[in-house]
Amino acid sequence: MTLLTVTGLTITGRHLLVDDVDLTVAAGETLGLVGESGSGKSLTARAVAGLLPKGLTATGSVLLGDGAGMQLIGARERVLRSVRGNRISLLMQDPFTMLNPLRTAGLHIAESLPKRPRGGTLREEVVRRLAEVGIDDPAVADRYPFQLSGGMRQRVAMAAALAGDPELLIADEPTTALDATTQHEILMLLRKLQEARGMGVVLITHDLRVAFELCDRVSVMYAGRIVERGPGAHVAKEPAHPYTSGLLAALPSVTRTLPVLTGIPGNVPPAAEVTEVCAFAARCGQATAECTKARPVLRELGAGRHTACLHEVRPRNDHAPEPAPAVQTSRPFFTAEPGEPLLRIEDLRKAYGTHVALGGVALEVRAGESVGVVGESGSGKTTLSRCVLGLVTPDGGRIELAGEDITPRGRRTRAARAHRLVQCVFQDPSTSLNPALTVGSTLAEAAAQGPAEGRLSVADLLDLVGLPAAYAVRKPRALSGGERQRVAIARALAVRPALLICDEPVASLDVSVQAHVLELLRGVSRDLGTSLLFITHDLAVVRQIAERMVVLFKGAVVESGETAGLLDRPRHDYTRRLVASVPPTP
Amino acid sequence: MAILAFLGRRLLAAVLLLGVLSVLTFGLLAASPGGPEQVLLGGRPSTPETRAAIRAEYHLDDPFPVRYARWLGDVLSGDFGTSIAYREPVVNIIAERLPITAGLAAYAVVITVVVGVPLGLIAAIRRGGTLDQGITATSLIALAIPSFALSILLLYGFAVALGWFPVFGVGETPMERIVHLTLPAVALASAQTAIVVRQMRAAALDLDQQDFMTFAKARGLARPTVWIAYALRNAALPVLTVGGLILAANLTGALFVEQAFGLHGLGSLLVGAVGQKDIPIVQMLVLLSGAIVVVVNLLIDLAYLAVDPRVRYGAMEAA
Repeated sequence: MTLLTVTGLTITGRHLLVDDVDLTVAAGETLGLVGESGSGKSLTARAVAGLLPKGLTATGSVLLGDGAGMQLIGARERVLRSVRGNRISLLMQDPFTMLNPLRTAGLHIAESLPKRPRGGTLREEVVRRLAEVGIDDPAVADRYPFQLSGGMRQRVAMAAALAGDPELLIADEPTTALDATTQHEILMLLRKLQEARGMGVVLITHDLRVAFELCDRVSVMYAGRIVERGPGAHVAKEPAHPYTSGLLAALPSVTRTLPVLTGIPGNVPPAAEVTEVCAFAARCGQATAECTKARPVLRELGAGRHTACLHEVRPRNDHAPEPAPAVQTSRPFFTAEPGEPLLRIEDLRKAYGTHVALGGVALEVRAGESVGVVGESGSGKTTLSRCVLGLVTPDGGRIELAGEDITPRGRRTRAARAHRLVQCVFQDPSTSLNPALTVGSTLAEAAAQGPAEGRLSVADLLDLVGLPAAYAVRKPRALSGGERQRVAIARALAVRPALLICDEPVASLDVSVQAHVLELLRGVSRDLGTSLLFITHDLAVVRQIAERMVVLFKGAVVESGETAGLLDRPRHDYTRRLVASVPPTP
Repeated sequence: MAILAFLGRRLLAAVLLLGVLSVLTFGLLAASPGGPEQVLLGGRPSTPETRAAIRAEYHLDDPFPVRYARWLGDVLSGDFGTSIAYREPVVNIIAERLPITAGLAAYAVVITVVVGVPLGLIAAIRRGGTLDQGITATSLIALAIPSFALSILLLYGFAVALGWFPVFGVGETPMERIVHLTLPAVALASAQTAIVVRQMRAAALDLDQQDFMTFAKARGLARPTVWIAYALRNAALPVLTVGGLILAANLTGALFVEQAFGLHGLGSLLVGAVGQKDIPIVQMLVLLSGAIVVVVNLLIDLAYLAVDPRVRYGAMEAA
């Protein structure tokens, strides 16, 4: 039974954002909507629920229900309100912002129940709904969102979204803001609920692995349109569009270390600029003159498969990828005997009140080596990096860098040399770069902190990270996310550091861009002699970049060793759980 | 229990603050030009004998801490001294004036909240529309007109030309009092309403983008629930702070409006007392303003506790 039929959905704000999207969802089916940021997948979902942000308008048709159905485009707010909650419900990405901070978990569920029972029965119903999403402790109903963990909040939100027993649930990146093990639990819960209730689910995700693991059918979106669709397993095995194929090639794998990570060159174009051509042509290795003559329609390949590509897609392993170009420099940044210890951390301790962030952590990074630190939120990995950077004063222990004790102690200032030896790349380049400074001033300012002898010019630094020298005059907002992160890396390299701390440097980047940045960081460690301390929650990423790794759990190192060996044969129970929670790479 | 501990700490801090304020206030007299006896004489010519008599009467030859302790003891027992200009106990004079100012301040705050909060919310909902632009422009104008200029305009328009409101005085019965205080309260509230409108608008604009608002709508919640339990309660916090500060400012700083309408409130008393170097009155007014600001801030803290569970539990944990 068809629950939802979307035809020719087009969304416009000041520009065209979503261009002619068709979707159908049947009862008991999970449809995956996959795409990178800016592909229009979230807006499509919002349009279906009639919840587009102000200033955006949708045209086309969104029919709810079988047969004639109910037209939701252009429907009055009163009609939409009667549909939302009990026929279509929406679950959003961030459990930290989705719930009203001033209302208890139980009240969120109670207020969403269509026929609200009174008194004791209401309480029973709320407890029953909590149990449905795997919360067996009825006391949770009286807690406020800020008293719950991320996973618990997402469960509460799910119970609230499902309180009206909708036929269709739209889940917009429901696990992106969560830790790996929690992510896995929530996805499994979603699948369980979908099967138990026979609901239709639209799962929106940027993570191909999640989509392929969970969805019956997958639609891949790019620049506001659908470029490929078909059964999840088929698309994973034989992508029929070069974009899907490129995304799959860019996916890091947790089971093997790839010699070269290949991203997709260039950036996603705005939907309005590519209405009459193939949106992907400018970035496509197979593009021909035909691709830019007219817009390719979704053509059927049989067995429910469609692609908007004119050509047969070359198999992925057809050609050996070219090795990445070396990161050019006149001489290495830091010369030491390879294998000599560079950073040595002993028995590092830090507690915030009763919460132990670091309970005696020991760690060693040798010259020219890259070491991964893996852990979930609350594992202490950020505290660790902040101690090494001198931003947090540890309660005890010792940090030694290049033979010098750099343990931050209260107000005593650190030697200027320490700042030159260690630098950091942060997670979100859109907030770690000063928006008021041009790229050139940012880099020049950073380089001026280093010694005058052998100082790198702005052009050298941009060249080092593979950006054209002309970017020096731009402001960060005129760059894409990947380019900004490159600038942040160049800024960190400006003082020729011996150690680069990377704190989740690719976590906020799209897959196609992530590969470029990872490859750049690999080059930095290989060609410049700079050691990396790479902090991440993503096991597939750490596999690609780190020679050795440590696993942090609740402020303690539970396992450490060679990356490949550790991930292939995890010993500690927690590491095993982490590895098991990674969706399989297609 | 934890709430009580929190309150206890806040009260202690308030008492400390008032203590510091009282030292500074008392220092006013000691530091005034010409010496305290000159001030106490109120500028009249004097002989060395009268000055010596005053020094003895006011114990001016004792060391500062002793004098302060004695003064503080008097103040705590409700004796703020005698006004130099009025030759009357300060407490009586202030007790006479306070109801007028308090009535005016409360009236103005009621107008500010009743008009400002809905207008701000409407402007936010109709963002970018004609109504929003009208409200925003009007609030800008209201903010730009000084209260004394508005007072004169209102007096001329509604009291003199139209004759709807009295020009002068405060009236006898409570009803008369309200009628008499309407124009002054409007004059006082206009700029403050503009501030609240802008605060409310900004807070609610921000809210509309919040995920929890979208999620509330996505669950098909009724419109009143979304706007009151979600939007208004979350936007209330910053507005509460501003509202409290406005109340404190009104109680102590309505002097322009009081002068313009010839109201004998605390503001006009302060202006007179400063002009006549009537130090005891100035001292009590300064202490009173300090106490009002401290008490209002305490009330704001309590309101936060009531509205926001995060603050409530944070306070409990800290206690």
